[in-house]
Amino acid sequence: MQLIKQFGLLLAFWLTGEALSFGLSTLIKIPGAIIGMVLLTACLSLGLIKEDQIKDIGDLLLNNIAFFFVPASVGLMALNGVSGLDLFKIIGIALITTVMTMVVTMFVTHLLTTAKRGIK
Amino acid sequence: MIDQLTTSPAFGILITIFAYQIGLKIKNKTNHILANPLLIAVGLIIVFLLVLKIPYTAYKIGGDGIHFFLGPLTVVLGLMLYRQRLVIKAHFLSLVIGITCGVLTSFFSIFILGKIMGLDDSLLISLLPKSITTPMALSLTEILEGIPVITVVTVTITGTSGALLAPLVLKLLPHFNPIAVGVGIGTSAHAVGTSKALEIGETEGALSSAAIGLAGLITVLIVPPLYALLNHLID
Repeated sequence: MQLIKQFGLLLAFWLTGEALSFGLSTLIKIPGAIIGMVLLTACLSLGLIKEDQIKDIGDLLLNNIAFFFVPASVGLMALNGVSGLDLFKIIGIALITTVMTMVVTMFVTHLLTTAKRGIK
Repeated sequence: MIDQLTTSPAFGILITIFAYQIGLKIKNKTNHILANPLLIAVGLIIVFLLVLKIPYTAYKIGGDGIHFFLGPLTVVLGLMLYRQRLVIKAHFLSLVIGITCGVLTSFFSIFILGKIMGLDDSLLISLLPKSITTPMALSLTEILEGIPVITVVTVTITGTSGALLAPLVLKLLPHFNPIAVGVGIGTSAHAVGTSKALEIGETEGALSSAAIGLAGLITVLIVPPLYALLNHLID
């Protein structure tokens, strides 16, 4: 029963997020579930809801997160119009840009955190 | 009779659970980053469906039932973000600036390389969310009108390659502090990379976890308007 109630709370955040996403859609496009996530973080931080009120369902989902990605990935077998060459390019781009992103983020964060320490 | 069984939602859900359990078993035995339960489960299911000539549409009936949970899962990432609040507060500005630079690097490097290689626009778009966690990446690709399965696959490739390449990067560039290392791994390679960051050290792991949610949020905010702007300029 506790899990059902907690799940209901998550769905309420999601639906509120969808409503706000629709309301904001002329200004900016943000997915409803992501607005729901921000709302949940805000409500937890402000103490409007307690971690205990969503902890069980939260851990159930977060601890098994990759399981929920399986169906979307199996969609690979039904993919049309993408050649082997395209896949080769995609993998190449993925590898190169991942390393670039990693190095730049580390470099900038290192500069910022080291400088701050120096001042203190 | 076979058709009736395979088009029951129970079929798709059951083989997903079964394949994922096998994936978890293999992962726990080998404990290698390439023994990813997701990859193993997907491989097993595809082979199973192809060998028995079961159409993807039949699998999808049950698969959609599991896929639905990505919505609540995205919302619950807010709980993860809340749990990292102390780490985020302690380094807020450095984190936001560092991660934003990473998100911009990811965007421009994909955009430029994709254009140079003559990648189709729909594929290029689908690559843009690849450094963020899958549920957020899927919402983003929906907004950008990308191809969801390309996004899911590249998110997985990115996480796995990030986890594999991070130790190499650190060997070549050994002077980054633990905060920078954690943020760099979490921003570029989301949760799969974070599992590697946790092996490297406690600070690295905590900051990598904190970076997942923030990087996702910053990406979702920056990428759609930036892509629209660039396309407008190019036209």
